[in-house]
Amino acid sequence: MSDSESDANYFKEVVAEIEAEAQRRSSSGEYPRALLRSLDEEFRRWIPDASLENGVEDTIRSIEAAAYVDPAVPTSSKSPLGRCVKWAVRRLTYFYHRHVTQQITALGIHITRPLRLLDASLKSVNRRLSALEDRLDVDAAARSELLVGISISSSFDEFSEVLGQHFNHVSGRVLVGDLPNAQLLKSLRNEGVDAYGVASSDTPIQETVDVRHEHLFDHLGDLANQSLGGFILCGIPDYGSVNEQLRALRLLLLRSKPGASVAVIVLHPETWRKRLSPVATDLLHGRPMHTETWSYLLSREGASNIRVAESSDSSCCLITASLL
Amino acid sequence: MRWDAIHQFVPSFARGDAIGDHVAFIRDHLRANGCDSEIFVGTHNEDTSPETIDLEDIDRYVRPRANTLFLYHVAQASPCAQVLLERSEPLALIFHNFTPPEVLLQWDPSVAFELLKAQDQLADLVEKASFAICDSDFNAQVLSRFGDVHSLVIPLPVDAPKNFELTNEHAPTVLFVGRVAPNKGIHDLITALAVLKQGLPEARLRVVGSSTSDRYDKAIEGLIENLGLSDVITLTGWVDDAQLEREYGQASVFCTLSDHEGFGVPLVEAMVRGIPLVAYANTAVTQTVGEAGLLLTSKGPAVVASALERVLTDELLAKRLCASGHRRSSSFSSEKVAGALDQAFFGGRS
Repeated sequence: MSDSESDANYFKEVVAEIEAEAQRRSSSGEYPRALLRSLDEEFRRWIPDASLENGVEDTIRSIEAAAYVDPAVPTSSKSPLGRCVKWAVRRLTYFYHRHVTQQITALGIHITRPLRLLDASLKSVNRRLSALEDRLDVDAAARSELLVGISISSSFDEFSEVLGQHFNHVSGRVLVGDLPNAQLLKSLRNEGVDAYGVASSDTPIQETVDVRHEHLFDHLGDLANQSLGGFILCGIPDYGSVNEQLRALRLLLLRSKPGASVAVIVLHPETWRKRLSPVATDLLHGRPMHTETWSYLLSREGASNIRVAESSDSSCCLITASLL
Repeated sequence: MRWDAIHQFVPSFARGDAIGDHVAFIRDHLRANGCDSEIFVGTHNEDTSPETIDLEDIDRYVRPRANTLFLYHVAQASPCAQVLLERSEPLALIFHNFTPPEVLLQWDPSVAFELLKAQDQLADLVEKASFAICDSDFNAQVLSRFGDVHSLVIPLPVDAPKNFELTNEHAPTVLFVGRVAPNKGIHDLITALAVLKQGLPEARLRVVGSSTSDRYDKAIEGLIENLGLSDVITLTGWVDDAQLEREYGQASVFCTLSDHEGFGVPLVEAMVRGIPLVAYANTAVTQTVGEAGLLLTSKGPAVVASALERVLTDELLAKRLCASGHRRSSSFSSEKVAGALDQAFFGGRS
């Protein structure tokens, strides 16, 4: 075996070892999951969204400029005779050149007009896509109507103590959202937890506690990655669609520091079904996910110390965990 | 075939860039062998103007009825293409490949459209060309999509520099040399370094090369800042030859995660200097590196970071990569390349 062949085999083995090592480190948390999660998203933030708009416009403008052809052929020459001959030829053939250039200019227009239409159509698709991204659920309007006036949120008063202990030594702020009332937030703050709330409902919440009145997704969109010491996800697990629930968890995990403490409060699916009318249970296809599902999702993200507690009346559950 | 003159045409001519150096190498080699050879440029560059002739002056330098071959370096759209199509002299192409326009569309749409224009020009030129020289098998495959032309694969020449020395007194340094452009995967290198620092906090990355996209510049600068890597990642911008040698001299490992390479001169420059190589295996990278580097099939940050850490901490592996790369780089010596060019132009006579 030649040196090259021997090296090639050795390097292939090393690459296989490296790939296995990368896999091991990623799953063991040696490469922090929070960091790996955030890297892709971090770069995606910087990719220009609407770059095509101006770029295509500029390009079409340059095609239009290039499509204009001057029929006046240059007559400059090193010798005066040459200049005269060229001038005479230009005069004699001007009608011909003008005819040809008019056709070329027309061709340019014929090309740029459909391009402009295509550009407009692309922009329209882009706009619609942006709107659709946030509305993947086509029943959003019907769900909103049904949600008004029914109370299906978990009661988490009895989890206050457990949550206080869970978040007691957290470094950094703890986000509580989507907040239905100020009670949980107040009790956490009384326990010394640096917590703040995000409430998307129109119901005013006492201003004595730190509450941001905005949609949880908007708030999470503005937060920097790894900025939270922990989070309590509530509300959305009770009434959000599966997509909303998963999206909320995904964003919260991205925005949490490695080692963050996390919690999810969710109604028991059976309680949810009993509390709602058949119409609402059919159309609100969010349905709270089982505690096993939340535990699975958290463990899949490398969370440890996953614990599940049930309220005394078995109506809702608390899942707590720590991120790696 | 005996050519009295072989003139080269190039969209623009700059020293220190892969194509510019290749053009100068061919001219010098042809002249040394008694063949008349000039460089005609589509775009005038003040820095290199003493070495070049503007395209519009072609008739003052090209003797009619002489046995003249025109060589066109295809890399971007250029007014040279139209002139060459209209001339009666035989034409050969040197195909350096283009960045795929779709890669650039999001970042620099106008550049992407320019590349489309270059592709249109190539389709016309291929019809006229007697033969083509491609830097790699990969480029030859790409060229074949533009039409049927006899293609020869002759790599770009890279020689060992004189008095080059690797210094070991620096922190573990990952080096990238090349254009700072979206298709070069600089952002992947940055995210890999963020992970590498978990195991090797003293590691740093130096990105050497000029930028071709303001938007991409802003993106990678923002990425570096947001990941808190400003103190360990340096974007040097364009550097002169002396500085480039110093950058190579300080490198512990050369890494490229480029999505598209027609050849990859910096890969050979690293190999010839005995710098271990880690690269993302794709396009022409696999052929250029051959069996002399760690070729990764994924450029996920965890995989790249593990590979870099392994090379930076495993001395035996690094040494073996150096030796293997050095051996491999001899395939690209100017002597071998010159011989292959003689074969292509003159059927073996030099």
